[in-house]
Amino acid sequence: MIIRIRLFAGLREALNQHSLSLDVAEAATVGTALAQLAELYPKLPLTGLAYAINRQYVTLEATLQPNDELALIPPVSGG
Amino acid sequence: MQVFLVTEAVLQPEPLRQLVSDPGHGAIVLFEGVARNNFGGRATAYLEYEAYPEMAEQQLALLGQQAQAQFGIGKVAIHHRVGVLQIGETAVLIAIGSAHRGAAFAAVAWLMDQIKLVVPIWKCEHWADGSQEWVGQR
Repeated sequence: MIIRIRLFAGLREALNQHSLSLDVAEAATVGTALAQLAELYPKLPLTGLAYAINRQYVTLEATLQPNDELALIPPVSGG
Repeated sequence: MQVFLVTEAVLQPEPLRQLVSDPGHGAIVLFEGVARNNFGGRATAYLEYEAYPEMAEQQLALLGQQAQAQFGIGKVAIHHRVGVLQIGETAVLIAIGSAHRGAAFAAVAWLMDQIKLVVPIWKCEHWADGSQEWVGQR
């Protein structure tokens, strides 16, 4: 199934793109999607992140559904 | 005017003041977070903010609700700017209307702390020496 990944700040710069599509197994978790990303893009800095599925914060164990939007959220620094 | 907003436009305090004003309020607190010319003593040329705008506005609204429940304030409005900001420009604007000032002062301090923890917005320091760095505070 296909999910959409959103990238911001340093992650966006590392791949020079705001988002990408990823083909993951049915019932894949955030953790398994990240492992796939790490293999595809070894240079992507994937440590210290928070995660959101469809704009809600989730943990690495959260399960993905087709067409979900998974956002990789580096340490925030607004304000 | 949207109550919780992420925008590239220059932030204006007056519309937020109107959003939170109420005849039952004895206090309006307006807080402006402003682009500073240094970070930890290192000279900054300008700042750049990036957001996950849909989620950031949702998180700001959630924080507003939490602040109302926790501090008993009346109305809250929060606008955050993104894009390139020159030194001295306003990055974030919080307006709180409240029956009494104490709750509003406490709530604005709490809101700023929470924004820096959970709202998906990122600041890039463009240093005076020409280099740049995304600043993470968590």
